[in-house]
Amino acid sequence: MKHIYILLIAIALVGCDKVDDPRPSVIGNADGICPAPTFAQNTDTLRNVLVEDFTGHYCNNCPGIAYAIDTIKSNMGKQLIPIGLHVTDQFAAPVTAKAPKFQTDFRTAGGLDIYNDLIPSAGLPAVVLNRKDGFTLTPGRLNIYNSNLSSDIRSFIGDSPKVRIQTKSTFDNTTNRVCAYAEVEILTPLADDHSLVFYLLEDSIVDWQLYNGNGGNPIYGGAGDIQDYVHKHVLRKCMNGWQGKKIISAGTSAVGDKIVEGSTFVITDGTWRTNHLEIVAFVYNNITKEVIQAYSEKLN
Amino acid sequence: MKQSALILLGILAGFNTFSQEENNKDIGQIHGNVQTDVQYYNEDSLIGAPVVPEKMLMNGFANINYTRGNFAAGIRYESYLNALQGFPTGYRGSGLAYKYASYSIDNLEVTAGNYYEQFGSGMIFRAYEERQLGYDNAMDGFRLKYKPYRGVYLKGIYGKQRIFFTTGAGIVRGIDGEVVINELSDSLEAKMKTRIVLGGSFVSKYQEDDNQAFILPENVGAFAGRLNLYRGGFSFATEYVEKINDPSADNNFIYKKGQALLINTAYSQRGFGASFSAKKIDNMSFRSDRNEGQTNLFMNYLPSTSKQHTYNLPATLYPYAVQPNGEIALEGDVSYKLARKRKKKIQIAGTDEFKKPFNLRKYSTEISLNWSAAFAPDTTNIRNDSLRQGYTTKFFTPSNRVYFSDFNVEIKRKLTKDLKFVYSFFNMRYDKDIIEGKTGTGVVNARIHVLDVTYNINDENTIRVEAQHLGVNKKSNFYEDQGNWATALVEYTISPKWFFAALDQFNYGNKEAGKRIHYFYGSVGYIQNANRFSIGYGRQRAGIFCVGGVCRVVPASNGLTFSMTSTF
Repeated sequence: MKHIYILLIAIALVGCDKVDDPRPSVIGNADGICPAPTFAQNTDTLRNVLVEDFTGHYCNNCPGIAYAIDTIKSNMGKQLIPIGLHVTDQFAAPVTAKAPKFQTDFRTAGGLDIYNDLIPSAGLPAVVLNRKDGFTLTPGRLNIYNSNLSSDIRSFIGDSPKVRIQTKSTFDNTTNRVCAYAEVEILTPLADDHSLVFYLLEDSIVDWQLYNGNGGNPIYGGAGDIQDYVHKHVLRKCMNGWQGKKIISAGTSAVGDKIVEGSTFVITDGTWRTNHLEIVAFVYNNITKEVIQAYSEKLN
Repeated sequence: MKQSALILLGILAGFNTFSQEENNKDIGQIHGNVQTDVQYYNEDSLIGAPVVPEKMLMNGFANINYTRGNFAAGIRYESYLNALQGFPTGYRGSGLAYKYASYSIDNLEVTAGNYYEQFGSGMIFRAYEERQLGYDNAMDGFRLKYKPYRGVYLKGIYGKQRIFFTTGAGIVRGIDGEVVINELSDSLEAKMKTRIVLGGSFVSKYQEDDNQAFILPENVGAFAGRLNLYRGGFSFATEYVEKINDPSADNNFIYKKGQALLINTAYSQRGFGASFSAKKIDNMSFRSDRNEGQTNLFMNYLPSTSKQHTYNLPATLYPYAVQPNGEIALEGDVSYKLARKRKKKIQIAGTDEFKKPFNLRKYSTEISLNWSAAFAPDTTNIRNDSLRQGYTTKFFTPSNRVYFSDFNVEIKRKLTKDLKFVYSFFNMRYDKDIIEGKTGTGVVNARIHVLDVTYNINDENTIRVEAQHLGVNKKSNFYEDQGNWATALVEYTISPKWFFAALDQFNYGNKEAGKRIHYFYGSVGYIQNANRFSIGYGRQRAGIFCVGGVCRVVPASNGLTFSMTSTF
């Protein structure tokens, strides 16, 4: 029997991996590949609003909310930073039965991870604002009531930022390399760990979209299978991983500190229109997930 | 796969040849069975029957087993051309889905190939097949069973699990030990009145970390301990299982440990039986592929603590599916048999005459009461959850949210030698959002009455009639779902070969007038020794089919069904 106990203990030891911290170490960095730029003085005083719009080309309610976001952006300008994340098999996978329509797959692995983390199993469209808890439709998910979109966005307008962000990014036509750099300036002591994320977007992709016409939509051309729908601010790549890189450790930052971080990515997909690229950089609280500041920049 | 089939059939053919040459020798035995289910589908948009492009679908199974002495080998050939509606669509095509060879020698049993196995109650490990669910998580690898000493039983498993016609991504390995104290010596066997069984298991899976977002544990282990006691009519069985961090699609990739506790007690004596079960499950979905869903690649089985009903309405409209992410469940069951009462002679006072014999209970009556409920655990979500622990919960504390409850009474009574009835009443509460994973529905409260009358016309002819009614609670705090149902069934049996049945289910209480539909279904069956044929035609409504708390959704259909089973 003694041998049996030893065998059991041995199997137990080799058969278990206890993970104390599930967060992976840094993914992706521009150091050593892209030259770091010089940043001018940043004088921003506004907290921007990151709008993550979880959508899909076969989601017939989605164009309505996208149109609403677009309308609000036309009033708010750079303070509103929308991202279209195409997610789920149900709404965003190519639709074989409708070929040749709806054959483009805009989904990304990072987008799916974000969906699973922020709004697991939520129906679409779903909108998350600065990943802030408190607007939530369902406990455990951060998506807002879509009918409250405008008022929830407005609630951020008077906020002061805890950090300032500015970016300087480039695209090299010969190597297809995107280099993105951000400068993060601490304006308020931060008690938690914070991470910096770089997203690469492609704006205004024209492709098929299903629409039920319920959102009121003068420019998208009515309901049904819309061939020339304009997909705006589509997430193409989470350049330094969907969770980004931790740049601020709890309690160690001081007001006035400036942190410069970069990330790089080479585009290999020839269908991306490189004159429509955007970089979005944002900093979020690793504990609460809330985005404390975001910044967007068009490339080219 | 085809190659291995040919090899196995070649081996079996070889044995057959051998038998022709040496008839006097034991050349073993070949047994098997075949089952085919074919369904032709009509379009029927009224009941929401999905359009079936193939028009006709077929599931087929053939088991062939060879045994000789302590050696056994066998195969199972399966066809899904294509799989019947409601079965997982991953079943597609034909092939050898199960093949094995095993032998026993000197207290050691070795199996190579596919096998089914269970450790304890199954909460840590169970590989099994439930064909009606399309559920088959058979192991493919090696298994050893060894009895090193009297009363001591060891099992070791190593392999991958079946998913459709292939195996899953993870490797499963485990060991189970059981000691029957009474069997350890002759003196214990003779002296101990209480039978005591102690057991313990360890199971681990390996799957590569293919996720960039998290550091995933590649080796996930679980351990379990169990105790069973039996004395006279009393029995007690308990098992506790704990699993280390197992982030998966089921639990939204949290790293909380999993726990499960099951307690079953029962007492029975002549004419009386009672049982009580309690269960706690917390984060105990345990699959050999962390990314799988549905009923694919479960390594464990979480037993249901609710009664599995057989009558159509209570069985298929609101059956409970065990919630692997967490539940606290209780079940109590009491059955009592009122014995037959003998005839009594009552003398008329002051005379020598007797009244006609008083005879209220010429036949026995059985009464069964059953209650079960499953509650959501009382949990508190962790804010600032950088370690992805998800939530906290107290060990056996339910919340106010009732996932499911079922109170039912069954009375069986024989009225005459040839006439008997069963009356059943069910009061169910069913949280449709949770159990069916929907949003925006609610809790259904259904009350069901069933009367089942059987009349033996003669030794060969029997008629059975069922009348069922399901009424939903229409108060505002409940969800009406499809409203009220009525069901009638007539079954006529000519023993031992023929049976005929006609069934009508009427959703007369549906709020939408267009959905107040009759689902009529008729069937005929013929049994000839080891062969059984049945043909049915009509509408079958959408429902949920569950076995032991594991369920699959059955879509509505309209058409012709043919089934055949045969054994040899």
